[in-house]
Formats: sequence, C-alpha cells, structure tokens
Amino acid sequence: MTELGYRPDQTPQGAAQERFIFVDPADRKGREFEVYAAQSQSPVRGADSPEIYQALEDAHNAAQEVKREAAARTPEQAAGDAELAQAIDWNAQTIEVTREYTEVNGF
Amino acid sequence: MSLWSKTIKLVTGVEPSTKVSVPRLRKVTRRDLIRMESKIGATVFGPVPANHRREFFCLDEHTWVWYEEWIDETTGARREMTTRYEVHPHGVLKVQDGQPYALVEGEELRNLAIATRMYREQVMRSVYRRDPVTGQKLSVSTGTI
Repeated sequence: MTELGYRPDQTPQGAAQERFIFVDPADRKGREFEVYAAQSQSPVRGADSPEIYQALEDAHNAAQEVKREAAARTPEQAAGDAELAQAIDWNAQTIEVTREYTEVNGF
Repeated sequence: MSLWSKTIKLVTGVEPSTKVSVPRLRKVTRRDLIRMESKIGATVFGPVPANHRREFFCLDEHTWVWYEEWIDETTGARREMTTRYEVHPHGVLKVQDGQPYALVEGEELRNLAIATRMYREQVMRSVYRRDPVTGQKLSVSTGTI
C-alpha cells in the first residue's frame, strides 16, 4: 500500500470522509498522527475495508520508522541535518516567492 | 506638435498617439514556470544519461520532486521513479513509490542541499532574470556577463 497521502481534504471523490482517517505521516507531527492511528484500534464507523486498516498500519509503521531513525542520530548529526534542511527550505521558499510574484506580475 | 509628430502625420496621414501600447502577453501560469524551472533542474545532478528523461523541480515551499524515466535495456520496458523530498524542521524525508519513508542523511542530504542551491541560483538567473542573492532584477549587462 503506497497511497498513504490522503489528507482530510483530499479524500477520493465519493468516499465518506470518516472512512479515510489515515493521514500521510510526512505531513503530520508524530503525536497528531498517533491520535489518528489510535483510532484504527477500535472499529471505525463505516470503515469496513481491510485496505483502510492496512493503510493505517503501513502509515503507522512508516511514522515509527522515521521516528526511530531520527532518534538514532547523534546531536551533532541532528543539528547538521537540521541546518541542511533549513538551507534546502530556504532555497524552495525563495523560488516560491519569486514564482508567485511572477505569476501575478509577469517577468 | 513636435517635428516627429508632424513627420508621422505627413507620412501616415494620422496623428500619432502619445500613448505607448505594450503588447499583451499571455499570462504565465505556475505550471509554465515549473516546466521552465524543471528544464534547468534536470541538469543539476549532472548529465542525463541516454534514453533517460529527468525532471527535478521545487513543487512548493517545502517539497522537491525528482522524476526519472528510462528504458530498461534488458526488457525494453519503460521505467519511472518519482522521489519526493519533504522538508521538515528536523530533517528531510524521502518518499518513493513502493518504498518506506526514510530520512535523508549524510552524503545524500549534502548532495540534495547542493542541488537545491544550484537550482535556486540557476533558476533565479535564467528563468526569472533576478540576482539569486538579492532577488533584484538583473540588468541586461549583468545578465550577460
């Protein structure tokens, strides 16, 4: 199951909102994700598809794996990685701002 | 009436308008811009191998996408791989089709940082004609040096 990217506002058309409680762990804080995942432990109204439970389990496992990997880093590694992540983000934000400006105002 | 206006009227028989008319260009869309950026992005990881098609672009302010498509030489089948890099406060998450989520670390993270920097610098200059550091418009002379 690779389609873990459904957010509440991105449920497939026609699907009941409450059936798709799983979320993309990449877009959620771990705590918030666990709240969602915890709901899978009890029957969810209308959620009778085993695929949904499988997706929940996959998403939960993926989030746990990421947390384990993050915890295994030394403080120095974590700081270095965070610094690089910020640099990557800054590059994206610079492009995004310029792109939005150009969309409105032209070149 | 200036000499120039008189000359125009004499030649064309019509009094020249004082308003400058700027041709209206088609509005550039986000998709257009990403397509233009992606052409540059495809080169920041080095030359694209034969029979490969590559795209690398900034999707939004926290996401980068690398798409690679190629022909499998043994089977002749078309293959493709999409990698999404999502930037979070404490690291970068790599998401690939059919693969578990993974934090990007070490050499790969450094290479990604370099690639995004090259992307920003080249895209700002070549697509947006702006200084990659200040964001100011490049003058014609600056842009050609």
